Amino acid sequence: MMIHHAKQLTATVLSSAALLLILSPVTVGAADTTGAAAGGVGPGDSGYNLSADTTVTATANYFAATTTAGAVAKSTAEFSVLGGALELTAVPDLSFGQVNAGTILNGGDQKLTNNTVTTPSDTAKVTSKNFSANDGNSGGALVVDDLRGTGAGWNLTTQLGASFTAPDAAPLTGITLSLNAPATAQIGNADTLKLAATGIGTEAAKVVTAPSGFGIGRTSWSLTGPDAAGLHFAPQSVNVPANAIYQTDITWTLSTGA
Amino acid sequence: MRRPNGLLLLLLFILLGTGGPIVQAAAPPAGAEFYIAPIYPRNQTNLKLGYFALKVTPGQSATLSVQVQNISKTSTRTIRVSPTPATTSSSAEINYTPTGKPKDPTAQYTLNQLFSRPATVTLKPGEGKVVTFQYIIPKDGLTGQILGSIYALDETRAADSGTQFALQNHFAMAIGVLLAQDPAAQQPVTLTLRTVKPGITNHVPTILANVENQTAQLFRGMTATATVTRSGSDRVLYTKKIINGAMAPNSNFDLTIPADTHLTPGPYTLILTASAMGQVFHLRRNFTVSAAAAQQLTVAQPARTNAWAAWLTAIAAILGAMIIFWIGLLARNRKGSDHYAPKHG
Repeated sequence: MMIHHAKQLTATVLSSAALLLILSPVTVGAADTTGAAAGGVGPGDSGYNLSADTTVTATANYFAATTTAGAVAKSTAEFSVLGGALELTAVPDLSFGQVNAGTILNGGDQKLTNNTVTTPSDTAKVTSKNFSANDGNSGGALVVDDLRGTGAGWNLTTQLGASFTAPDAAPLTGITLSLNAPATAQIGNADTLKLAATGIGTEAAKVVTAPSGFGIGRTSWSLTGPDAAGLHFAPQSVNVPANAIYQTDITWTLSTGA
Repeated sequence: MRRPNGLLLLLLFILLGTGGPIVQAAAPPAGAEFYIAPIYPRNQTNLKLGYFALKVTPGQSATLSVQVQNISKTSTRTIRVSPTPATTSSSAEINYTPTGKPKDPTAQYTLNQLFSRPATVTLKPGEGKVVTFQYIIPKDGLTGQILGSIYALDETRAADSGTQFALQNHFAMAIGVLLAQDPAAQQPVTLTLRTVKPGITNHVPTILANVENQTAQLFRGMTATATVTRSGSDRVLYTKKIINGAMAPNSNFDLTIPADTHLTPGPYTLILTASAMGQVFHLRRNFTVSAAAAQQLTVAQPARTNAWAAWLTAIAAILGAMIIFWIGLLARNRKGSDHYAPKHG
């Protein structure tokens, strides 16, 4: 509300400035000063950001301005490495197959069945994109590439949507995800990068932490086999229609931070 | 939240057999089709951190840029880039993703208050753009640290691939932003308990102890042990331990202590012992579970033994019917014997 109000204020100031501009160019400077002062009305005003703009500009070069990392070889010939980026290269499909209604209603666990998304019997329903573009997903591979060359570390968090929903059925809540898989690291000790998290729910939960000096280059996990992932169902107090297809969002966030 | 009828459940089991609803994963892109990378400004304190750590001055107006890159060779991506305040999650981790959590009352400012608005960028295959945010540090300056992130979420609609999918993958990246006037300064932190109350987490009765970091200082390596007893008793009923926890500056989180169904009404005491940044905090709070709350907690948790209950109900009903029948028979026999008794007399 405050922000909105302050925006209006700024708009008013700006339009007055424009008016002044039309009336008398000489007063433009003064009008600008008034605008700045108006922007700063009251200490601690949350409207500080209102004079600020977010801009988007194009870059020409693919790797431009990503990092400032430079490496120097030990040989007499020096070269510098243009730093790459930190990327979440692959995320697997997690299929939990047919879940017993009893598991959903009374609570229980469902293990990962496979990484292949079952195609509906009516193949016309499936767009070709899902067949052609996603071959990499069915192998259960989770891959993070850190090509920054700084070894600064990173975190991977996972978060489920608010509820599992199905058409014409009450939403299911209280379902949590667990992930468990050893890591394969290109450089250094992989044990630190083990994927181990239980109770992943609607709040972002850290599933992998790469401390400084870890997770450099490619780090991968193979989410295959029943123990790699599981859904835990809390008892539900709603009716679960037979053969309902429940769906929720899963957000994978690759982050760096203090 | 109604308790499911046992017989209805039994009926469901018969109807469904073992085949139930299908929970499956979506067919997303193979991975994130984009990345964001920091473009360090001049006030960045360390170029090797991988996140923004900025030395700021009161009244300063400056910019902060990230490169947003589409790495897909085939698809156009739409990425929303937002300055986001850091919060603390219930597992005592610093959370750089948007939560909708209200600003902690002890926070002077949150990151998004100082930064310009979120931007949405559309990128053609292989295209990169620089998103520049403007931020203004209040004239009065900042006390301690402000923590948050530049959070980028791929909002590109995934192809809808029928109805057989359950886990729809979404991809985001967050680059931390730490603002401080004196980046080297470390303030002693103050931890407090704001509220302690019974609640429900993932359909399980819990005790929620809201722990607050009142200081504009992030910290890691926190250990905390919470125990719950009946007031006046030494017997620990429920306990929860946190190892290597972390908290964002001026933030709070609900330390979740799982309780079981025996959370009966009455007075309880929670004791929290936490150590962070070389300081130890002994915090204690009495709280009451009201009869109504206890009732609610019980109702919220459907009996895990519903299938059993259904069978037991059925068996009991059959036994009951048999007993009634037997009593009826007995009574009739008795009547009969009464009737014929005189003959023997």
